[in-house]
Amino acid sequence: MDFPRLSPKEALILELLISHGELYGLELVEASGGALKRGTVYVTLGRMADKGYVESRQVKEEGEAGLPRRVFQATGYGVKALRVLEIGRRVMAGGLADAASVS
Amino acid sequence: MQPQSRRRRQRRSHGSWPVFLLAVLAWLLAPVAMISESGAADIVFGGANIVFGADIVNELGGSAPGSAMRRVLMTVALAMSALSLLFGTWQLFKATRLRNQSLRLSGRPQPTTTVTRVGVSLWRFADFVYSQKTFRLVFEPILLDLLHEHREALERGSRGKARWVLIRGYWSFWSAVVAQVPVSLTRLLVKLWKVSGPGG
Repeated sequence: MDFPRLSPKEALILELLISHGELYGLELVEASGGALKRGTVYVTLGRMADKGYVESRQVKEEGEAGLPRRVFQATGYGVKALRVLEIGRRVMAGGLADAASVS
Repeated sequence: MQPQSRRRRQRRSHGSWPVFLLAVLAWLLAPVAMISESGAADIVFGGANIVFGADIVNELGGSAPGSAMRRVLMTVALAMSALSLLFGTWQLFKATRLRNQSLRLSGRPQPTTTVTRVGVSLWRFADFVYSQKTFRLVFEPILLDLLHEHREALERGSRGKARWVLIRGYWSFWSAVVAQVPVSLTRLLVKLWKVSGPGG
């Protein structure tokens, strides 16, 4: 079985997407409080899309000029990957009892 | 705008070569000025520069410049560095000046107009260098964010903010270009591995 691997930034993005729902890249940067950078957030999102953790669609807001912008959201696989990571962290921290209750 | 003044403006806009020239001259002069009379470097300025400076000294007749000469050379080199820095900053400032005339006149531009005015070279560069998928997921959102924020700032009449948005947007774009290189290279290597491997 392929064990999902998440970098700290990918985990943060997934956490934000799960808690906020659909977000633009810039909204992710703002919500992260400086942990994510404007220049690299889309590179990370692109990599996560390759792995299947996030998906995106173009949204044209009403009354907004210009081309439609892209919003991102976590996929079911992404949500599962984050849960696995959280469980792994707890296990590693020695909280086996907590992990069992979460799963 | 009159055609003649526009031509003059265009001529002036291609003026980044003096920055390059000044920087090169400063780069050449500084190591020469730092070579002491005995030939050893007074200040560690970077191995390549000092060796290069020593080469120039040898080319000039084998003797290192005297202390007064060195002081003069050093002053000239510093002045050139300062000038190139100032000139470069001015070029950057000019490059990020508001160029979207149609946006200022009509308020709401057509998408094609916006794209062709702000960030078009970045758009073409990313489209040419990276795959369609990478462009769609990584670079298109960056440039659209840039256009979106730039337009918002202009609509609010904040020209300084619009300029800052452009500088920040260009910085983000090039950061993404650098960050994307290892990702794209890895992807390419994996593809090549699969094609040339035993299973391919």
